[in-house]
Order: sequence, then structure tokens, then C-alpha cells
Amino acid sequence: MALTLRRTQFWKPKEPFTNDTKHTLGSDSQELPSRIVLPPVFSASTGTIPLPDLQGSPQDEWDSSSRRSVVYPEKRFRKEYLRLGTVTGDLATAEGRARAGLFWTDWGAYAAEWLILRLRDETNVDVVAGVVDVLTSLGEESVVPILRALEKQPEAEKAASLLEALEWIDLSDNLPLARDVADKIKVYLSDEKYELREVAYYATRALPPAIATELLELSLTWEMSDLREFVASEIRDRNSE
Amino acid sequence: MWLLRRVKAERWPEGQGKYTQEDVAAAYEDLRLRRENDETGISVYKVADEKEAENVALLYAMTLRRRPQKFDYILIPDTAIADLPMRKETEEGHHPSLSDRHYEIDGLTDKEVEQLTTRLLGCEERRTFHLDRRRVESLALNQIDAEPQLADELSPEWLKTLEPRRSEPKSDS
Repeated sequence: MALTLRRTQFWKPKEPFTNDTKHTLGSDSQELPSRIVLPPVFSASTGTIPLPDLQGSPQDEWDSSSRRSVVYPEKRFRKEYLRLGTVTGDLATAEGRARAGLFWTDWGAYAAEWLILRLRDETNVDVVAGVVDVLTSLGEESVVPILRALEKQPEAEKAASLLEALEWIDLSDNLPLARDVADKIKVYLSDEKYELREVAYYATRALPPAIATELLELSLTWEMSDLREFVASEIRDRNSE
Repeated sequence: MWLLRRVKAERWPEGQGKYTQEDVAAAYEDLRLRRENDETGISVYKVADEKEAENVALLYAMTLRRRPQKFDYILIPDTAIADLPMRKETEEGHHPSLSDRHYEIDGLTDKEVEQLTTRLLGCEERRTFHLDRRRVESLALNQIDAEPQLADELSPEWLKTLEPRRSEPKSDS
């Protein structure tokens, strides 16, 4: 399955490089100049972005091909990560949390990749919820990173978090991507774990109604738990859209 | 009693009696202080009973979580933490029902947090609650009816979820 991401404005950090130490992805120590011209990592002719492969541990974050072209402020990423899931101080209000979230939206798919790698080792329920919120905010930008992560069959808890994020991303105007997402959701709809099936059912809300209905009706052939009633109500909702 | 909300219910099974080191390690992840984030206390809410606890959990889910989602919490009897340093910690910007009830178990070392984990896991009166998502949404609909101004504090995700359901029959509880 070829995953591609349509992108018109992939690179536009609002405060690109201030006094932060910058890191090439995959490097923890490299000092870089204070202002760097970033080569595009997408092909203008095809409108697609070859996203870095998610291999190895969070320490060796990205593959070598992306190290050459992607530079990001690691310190700032880590600092903002610590604020995820926090609801005190300047993050006590929804407005404050929304302001803080702008940092991640400026980094688009790269933020999604970075956060998904962190998610793998995260155990704090608030931080996990915060990461999912950001992935949700990123919209289509986070879909390909999520699909790539799900492709690696993460443990159930992590997979559930990724599916949770998908639910809130509207793919009704992007049929090719919606089909890729539907293929992945379908795998989890028949999972033996109740919790995974549940979030997968919710994730179908991201899909165009016709595709969602097809998946949900299919799942009624095996869903015998109390989720069956929920699936039926979801089908009614999709059909009324 | 006290409500401890930053937990995963499966890490706090009830009535098992004995716990392995793995059980303690898993539950410890819920109490572990994020020192890297200058966290100094374990957040708890003072509640009178289970009904009030459910309402606190709901208000937290509605106003401080961006999306409707499942919500786990545990209830701890006063006696289980009566000897620990407790600090009232109101938070401007939070719903008054949350802020007025909020405290922190303050100044524990990591070792003491681990001991507290063991103590709470072994506490027979400790109760573990899991509100699944549909229950959270159902309670939220009732809450909006009782407190319409709460809608002003809800995120777009919450509103998108609740709005189509407002015409549905309400839950009794």
C-alpha cells in the first residue's frame, strides 16, 4: 500500500529558528547554525511527501534519508512535550492549551512522527491523551504517520490511542486516504480485544459515510458483544448523513 | 474520601489481596511524579460519596479533556492517606466544583510514592471505577441539562458529540 500525503504548505513554522539549539533528526548533539534553509522533502511534481521510516527506538528517531533534509528544534520539542496533558498554570484554560498546541501544528507531519515515537514508551494517561489531542489537531497531517505506526502492529494500548486520534480527522474530501485508513481500521474491527474494536468503530467516523457503513455492516457479522447495539446506531447515523 | 483520577483502571484491580512487584510497578506509573515537569504533588479531589465522585470525574472529562473519552478513577478512604502532607491547590480557570475540591499530596519522595502505591493497592476499601465513553457522554448530556452554561466551556469535539444526541432519551442516572 503506497501511503502518500497531499500537502500544499508542508513547511511553515511560525518561529522557525530562534536561539534554540537545532537538531538534525536522529542526532542528539549536533550544533547547527541559527538559521537554516530547509530543502523540501516533498516532490512538487507529485504533491506527495516521502515520510521517514519509523524504525528503531526514539533515540534514533528517523532514518538516514530524512536526517539530511529535516531539521527540528529538539529541545523545544522536548519542552513542549512536557506540557502535554498539563492543565495548570497557563494551560488551565482551553484557550491556553489551544495556544500551546499551535507549536505542534506548525510542524505538521513531522510533529506527528515525533510524538508517535514518544507515545510508544509513554505510560502517563494525561500525556497520552495530550498526544492524541495533538494528532487530532494535525488533521490529515497525522494520518500517514498513524497508519505507518499501525502497520508495525503496536501493542493494543498504543494502537487504541492512534485509532482514537483518527476518529476526529475528517477524511470525507480525501477518498484515497480514506480508503487507506479504512483498510487499517478494518483490521482492528475484528480484533479479539473489546477495547480495540470499540475505538475502531469510533474511528470509522473519520470516513465518508458510504465507506464507514460498509465496514460497520460487515462487522455486524461477528460483533456479538454489547458493542453490537452501538454499531447498529452508528450505521443509522451514517445512513442519515 | 478522595478521588484519584490519573489512573488506568486495569492497574488497580479490586479484591485481589496479594500483589506482585509487577502489579506495583504498573500502578506506580499512575502515581509517579513527573519531576521533569516540576511536579511536586499527587493530585486528588475531596469528595463526599460515590455520586459526588462521579460528578467530579465527569466535570473533569468535560472541561479539561478535549475529546469525549473513557474515564478511570479510584476512590480512597480518608484513613488511607490521613498521615500524608496534604495541600489545598485551587486552580483558577477550572470549574469551581473541581477547583474547590482539589488538593495535592505534597512533597513525597519517589520512594514514598512507591510505598503509597503498595499501600493503596492493598487497601481493601479502595474502589476502582471505569466510566466507558458512552457512559461519559450520557452523563454529560444530563449535566448539560442541569448546567446549560457548561456548554460554553466545551470543546468543539465535545459539542460535535453531544449536539446530535440532545434529542435522545436521557439516562436515568
